[in-house]
Amino acid sequence: MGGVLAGAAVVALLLHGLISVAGMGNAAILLHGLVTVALVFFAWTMMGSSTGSTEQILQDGARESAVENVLMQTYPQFSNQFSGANSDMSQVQVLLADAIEKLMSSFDGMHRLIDSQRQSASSVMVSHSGQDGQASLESFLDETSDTLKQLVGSIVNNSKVGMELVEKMDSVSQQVRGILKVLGEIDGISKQTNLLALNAAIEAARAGEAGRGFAVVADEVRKLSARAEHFSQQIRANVNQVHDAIEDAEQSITRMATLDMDFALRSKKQLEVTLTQVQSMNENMTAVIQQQTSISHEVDMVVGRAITSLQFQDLVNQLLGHARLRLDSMETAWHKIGDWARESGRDGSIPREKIEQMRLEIDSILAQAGETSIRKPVSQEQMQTGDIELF
Amino acid sequence: MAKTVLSVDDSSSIRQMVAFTLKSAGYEVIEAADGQEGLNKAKMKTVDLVLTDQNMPKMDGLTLIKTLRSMPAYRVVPILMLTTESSDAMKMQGKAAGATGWLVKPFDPQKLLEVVKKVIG
Repeated sequence: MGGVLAGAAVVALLLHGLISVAGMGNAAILLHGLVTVALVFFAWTMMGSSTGSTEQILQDGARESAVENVLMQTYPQFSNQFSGANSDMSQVQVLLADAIEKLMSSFDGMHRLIDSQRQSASSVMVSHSGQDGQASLESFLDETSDTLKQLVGSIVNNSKVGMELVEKMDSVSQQVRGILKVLGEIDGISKQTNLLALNAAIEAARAGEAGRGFAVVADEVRKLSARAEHFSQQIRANVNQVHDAIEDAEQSITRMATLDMDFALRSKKQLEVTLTQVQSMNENMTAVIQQQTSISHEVDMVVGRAITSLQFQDLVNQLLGHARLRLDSMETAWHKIGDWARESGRDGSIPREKIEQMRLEIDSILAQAGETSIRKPVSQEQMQTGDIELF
Repeated sequence: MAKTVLSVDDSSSIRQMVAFTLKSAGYEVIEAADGQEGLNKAKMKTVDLVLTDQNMPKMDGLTLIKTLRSMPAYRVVPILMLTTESSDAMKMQGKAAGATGWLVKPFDPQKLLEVVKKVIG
């Protein structure tokens, strides 16, 4: 019997070595414990198969001091491993719960941000399409285009009127030149009148005393001719001023008309280009907003998938809880076995009824452990969405 | 007015996820960490839907459903089970206790919303 246990201990040591080499950290401690427990039970079963009933084994075992020694020696380590594994698993549960809670908060924040982004995008869309009583960008562009076209049209019209005005000024200018020609005629007349007055004065002098009266008339005619000449020169100076002013005005109007026309035509062309650009910018913006909306929907879907996957924590937590229940049963059974070994070591022998009672206790613990392991709370083996059934 | 959902689960992360999913669709969510707390909160305010886990300390989901169904205020209020349990035997127990439907974890937020919408609009 001692040989079986010694063999089991060697196998356990070898397996422990292998587990340590595999380097699984905390899980290794748990596995150490479980392997040892398994091997002790294996040895126990071996003993059972060699002698018959469980009662017989326990009686035999009570007499076997080697078994007691092994139990007494390994008992504290087993207790350590049991509680170590238990606290490791509880630590995993706490860590997972904490991590998932923080992850969920992050996803929550992400979702909020995406949502507010989507809302601002859709508000832009709303003002775009002219709901809420706001003028839409498109109709604003159309109105602007119409107004500017009207403006350009009136500028072109002004230029045309300006050109007509220039033509009219030209004809006024010709009229003025006509007036100057007529004034030349008046000058000729006054020169001729002056000459006639001179001749009349000469004839009056030659007539002597009889021509004295005529000489006075001839002098008056000369004065009249001089006044006429003076008057004609004044008119000429005035008309010349008018002529110059008209010429200036003509030049100004010509400059303005051509300038206006050029400006209007250039503006019209530029305006068309700008409006086309704004139009295409508007189209681009609409496309970008639509794209953004569809991206935020995709993000929502991805977050949804993440949330499905994050529920692994609940599944793992329940499985760990279940594993801890199993471990607890093992620990309780192990404590019973330890108590038993201690008592038999102290008393040398245990009364038959006491052994029977312990056997029943251990049997009931193991039966309970068996029940616990059958009712597994989680049967999922993959993280796909669970079934939905409405009754 | 927004409809109120009572989410009962001992896993705070699941409550967080259920609340996140339902709140984003405009529902109000009350949380409870076990069946007993769920029962107390259901008594304080009659909710429009109860969404409960099965395995919880103090009081499990089936007991909660049975207790709620015995109260006049909760005779017709929809109660959905959201649990890792997926066996037909458990589902039959749920149906017998008066559950409106059975959802197996993990849930897909979109599908959860569809079911909730179907049940309470």
